[in-house]
Amino acid sequence: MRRSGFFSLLAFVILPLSFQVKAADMPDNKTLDAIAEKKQWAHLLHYRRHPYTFRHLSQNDTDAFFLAKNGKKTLKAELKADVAAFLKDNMPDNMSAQCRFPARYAWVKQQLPDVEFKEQSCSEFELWMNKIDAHKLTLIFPASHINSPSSMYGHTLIRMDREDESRSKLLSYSVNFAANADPTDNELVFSYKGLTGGYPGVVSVMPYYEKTNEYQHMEYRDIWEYRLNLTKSEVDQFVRHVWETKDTYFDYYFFDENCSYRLLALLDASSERIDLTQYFTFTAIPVDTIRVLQEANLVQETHYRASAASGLEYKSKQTGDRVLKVARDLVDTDTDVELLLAGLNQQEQVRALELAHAYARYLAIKKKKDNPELRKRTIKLLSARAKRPVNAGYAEPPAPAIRDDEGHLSSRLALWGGNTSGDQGDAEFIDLRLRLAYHNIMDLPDGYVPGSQIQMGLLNVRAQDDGDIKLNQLILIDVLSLSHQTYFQSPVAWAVTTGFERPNGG
Amino acid sequence: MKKLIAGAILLTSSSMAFAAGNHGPAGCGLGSEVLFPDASKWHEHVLAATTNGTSGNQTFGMTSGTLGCEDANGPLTDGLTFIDNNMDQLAVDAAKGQGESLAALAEVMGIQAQDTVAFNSAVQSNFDSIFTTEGTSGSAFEAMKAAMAKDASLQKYLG
Repeated sequence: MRRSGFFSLLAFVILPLSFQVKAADMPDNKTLDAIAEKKQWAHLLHYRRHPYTFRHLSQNDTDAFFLAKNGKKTLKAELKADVAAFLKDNMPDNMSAQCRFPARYAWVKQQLPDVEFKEQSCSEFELWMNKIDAHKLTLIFPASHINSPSSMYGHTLIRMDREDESRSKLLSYSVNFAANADPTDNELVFSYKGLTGGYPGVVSVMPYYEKTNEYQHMEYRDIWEYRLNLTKSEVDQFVRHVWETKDTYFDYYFFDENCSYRLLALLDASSERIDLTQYFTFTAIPVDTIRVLQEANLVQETHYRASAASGLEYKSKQTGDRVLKVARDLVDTDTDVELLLAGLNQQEQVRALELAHAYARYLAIKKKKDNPELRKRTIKLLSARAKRPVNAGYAEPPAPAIRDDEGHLSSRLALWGGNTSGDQGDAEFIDLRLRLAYHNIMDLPDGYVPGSQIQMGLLNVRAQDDGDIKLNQLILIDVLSLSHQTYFQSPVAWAVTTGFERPNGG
Repeated sequence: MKKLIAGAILLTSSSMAFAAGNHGPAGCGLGSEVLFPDASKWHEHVLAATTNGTSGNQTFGMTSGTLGCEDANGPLTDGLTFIDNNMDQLAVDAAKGQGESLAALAEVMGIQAQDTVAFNSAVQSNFDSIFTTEGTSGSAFEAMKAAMAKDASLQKYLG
């Protein structure tokens, strides 16, 4: 009797010990529910109230983003599942949920300071985070490019800068959100799918030079860089959260869940003090996302990177006609390079060679077809340049006085009044004019590419004093590209409009 | 649609090595880029860029040093990777004897501040052997190392 009593006492003591860590540490439902209701938890899970269906759920469309079965729809369930997973001890390297969701883990630990979480080994994540070595964030804005309709709204990505400012920015890693499109889709299919969520949008991390090569040197887009003032711990949380999006996707919608929107969502998840996606319900135009960052006092300073095309134009203005002609001949003819340069002094020669190279690259990109002769010639030009170790003495293109985000705002509502006289006699009218986006060549030009026009959602309704109300204009999209010719560039101007317009008096 | 997504996810998880375009039969595929590649190759790239699509694998910054490139994980492999991805810009900078890409290459190869002038000069004066019509990034890298070997202050960076 006594012995069994002793054993049963032992059992009573031993059994609960194995459960002790979990049962005692797992917070009660009331505590967890309160945490799940916090805005930051919704930010970490990319929850949003859908503007059309009013459902509140996560915009992430991958099962792997959630630990709970209904995690996509229920914040509380997801929190419970995550906390339970974070509490698990003795997990193999890289297998813990702490490694899969380090940002959530960091935030949850702050919300539950009395819970004793056991740190698990996450060597893969640590290696990646150390390699990224992020101390500051910079929002990068490749601005719009005339003659390129799909780039007119611009694009945004974030560069994760290292601590030492003197180290090359090209080697910093950058975060980019883009639609993972099927390369065999044609332009029409691409546009349709891009508008309707037909492609998965993925977050990618790559060295910044991949982006400058693409935008600055191939696409000829000027780049604005906005240094953000996030603290080191906010930056760390941002990087952890980027890791959480790995191998997951968010359906890409050109209008509202696009590159710029998703970046703001990543920033929202990084810090309690950032709450910017709330301003973008139906559309997220890149330049507007920059404006909200400015208004939230998150931008510290800006920096401008001129595109290769801007460089070419600015430098040709610093050059006399004689040198310009030599530069063109160096590319357009196959006369011996040294012969063409003979009449110029050394600095003029160097200037002609640099302009010639820039012009040759412009031709190669524009023509989009193989040209082995041009390629050989280009290398010859560079070789000639290398034999002259002097500086060309060109000034770099200065940053424009007005940045792209300092131009007029995107939407406009206008009221016009007037008087028409015609066959039916005089009539007074009032026009209500709405333009959802973006810029018209008659608008204030500051911050916009000259000659570049894109308008979407143009509505023009007229009410006459006799009570007649007419829809005068409904333009879905209106694009005008009045690119001008320069010494080196001869782009073609074009215009496309689609919509409905009532002719006057009709 | 589901298939495409599933396919993309499968690709992303298995190809952690590095950015799309650098997978070769040798595992790393480093050193095969040419100077000023054909415009037709570019066209697809530009199309993808202008329509804000990636049309490629999701990359996550896992660069050389993992998955098949373990033999040389250091400044020299990183140097070759950088040259692979920045041939055109490096050629321009080399011709001028200075530039942002050339400075980045110097940083990748661990060249210290006091030796960068010598590095720039070595690359500029050996332009013809490094950047050739028929050459690849691999041959460019070898030629660059040979140029560095000729300079007393740069030899120490060759490992």
